[in-house]
Amino acid sequence: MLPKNIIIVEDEIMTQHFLQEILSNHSINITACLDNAKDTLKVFQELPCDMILMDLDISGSTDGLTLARKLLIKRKIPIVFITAYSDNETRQEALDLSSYGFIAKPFTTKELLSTIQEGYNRFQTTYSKKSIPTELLLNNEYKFLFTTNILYHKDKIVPLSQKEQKLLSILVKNYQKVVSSETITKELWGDKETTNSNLRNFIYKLRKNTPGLSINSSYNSGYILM
Amino acid sequence: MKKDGVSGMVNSIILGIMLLSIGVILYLLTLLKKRKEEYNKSIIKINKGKERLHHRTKNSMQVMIGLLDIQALKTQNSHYQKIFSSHVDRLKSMSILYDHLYSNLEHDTLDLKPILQDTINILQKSTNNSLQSDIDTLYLRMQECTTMTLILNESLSNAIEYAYPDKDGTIEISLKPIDQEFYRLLIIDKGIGFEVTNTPQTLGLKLINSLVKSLPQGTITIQSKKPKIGTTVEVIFKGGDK
Repeated sequence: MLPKNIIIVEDEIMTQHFLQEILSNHSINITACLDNAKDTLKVFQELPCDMILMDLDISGSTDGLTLARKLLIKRKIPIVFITAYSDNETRQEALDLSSYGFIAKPFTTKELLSTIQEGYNRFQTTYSKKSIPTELLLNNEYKFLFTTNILYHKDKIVPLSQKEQKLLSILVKNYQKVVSSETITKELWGDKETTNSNLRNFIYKLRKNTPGLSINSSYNSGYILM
Repeated sequence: MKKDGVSGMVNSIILGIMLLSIGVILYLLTLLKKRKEEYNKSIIKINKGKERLHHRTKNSMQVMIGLLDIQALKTQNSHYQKIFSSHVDRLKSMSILYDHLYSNLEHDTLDLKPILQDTINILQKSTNNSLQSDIDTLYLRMQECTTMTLILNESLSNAIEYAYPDKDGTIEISLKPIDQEFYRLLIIDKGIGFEVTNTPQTLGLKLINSLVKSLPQGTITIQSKKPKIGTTVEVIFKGGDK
């Protein structure tokens, strides 16, 4: 399986062009194509992204390996490295950081696609024991991304607090099924004492932030996202 | 008194000479140190330049491969797609060669074995035919290594493309010494074969012929017959001093 959304970090214009051309021809969505660390860090959390394709040699003062380290702190994501330096030390250093693929320039379309596919499959089997889809279209307007717990409204991020994101992710994972109030309370507040009205207030706030989403209560026993 | 005066003078002359020579030595030492620093600096500069050039070369090869791949993607004609992809294979094999040359810049000769092995591995990725190789270590000069790699790439690509049109088969590649001086490169398939004399030469075959001529005492023999006795390409050349 190929990833749906890829962010490209590469500072050679011609290679950028080649990557975009080939990947979009294989129905991969390029959500961003950048050439430096600063811009990448800025957009990374805001754009749908299942994999990063990154040249180790990029513009600006931050090199690819350092950027990769920073991105991986934010979230687990498969990174496939590209480099014109094919020496073993560089390769080892990159693979120690993210072992989902390493492509030495010059590479062909075949090599590119097989490396991406192999890396993505390996990432999938490592991090999603059950094959959970990466995103769910809730209705025509809302889309929820499982990897980041981010809700999009017409491709714009809906600003939610971390707890609200978590609550929504529980409801989305049980889409069209009732989740009991106890389960939600335990997931959100742990074993701390909380009252049902606390949860009700919370749900009320979430509903207000997400007009058009139907989060319904089910006979006071729990909540359901329809 | 007189004697003392003379010896005092001698003493001060000796002292003077000693001081002077120490001065000269110190001066020479600092000069040497300065030269050494300059030398080290220029070595670092050269290495940096070397690395940048390497980087640029790789990126340029990437651009070429990228353009050919995009063109192949854009054309619907399978004949042209084949042409583009054979050029991509040629570039790829040159880049392997380049890597090996680059990491052996300080040597006069380099081992052909890993270069040919890498070339075979790359071609294996794009075919379901089984490529079986048995290659001996052979140290050659850069120019000869280049020629041999290109010959292997062309003849092996030909076998992969034409030998087994209906089902996949085996292609054997071997490089062995014949005697103290001469070596033999063999590419053998058991495929459909072709009429050597009546078939118009492809670009690949033309290239192979001229490349072989540039090898020291290089000769080529192609044995093949239709139908189904397969094709054997044999290249014999003088393999340098052992």
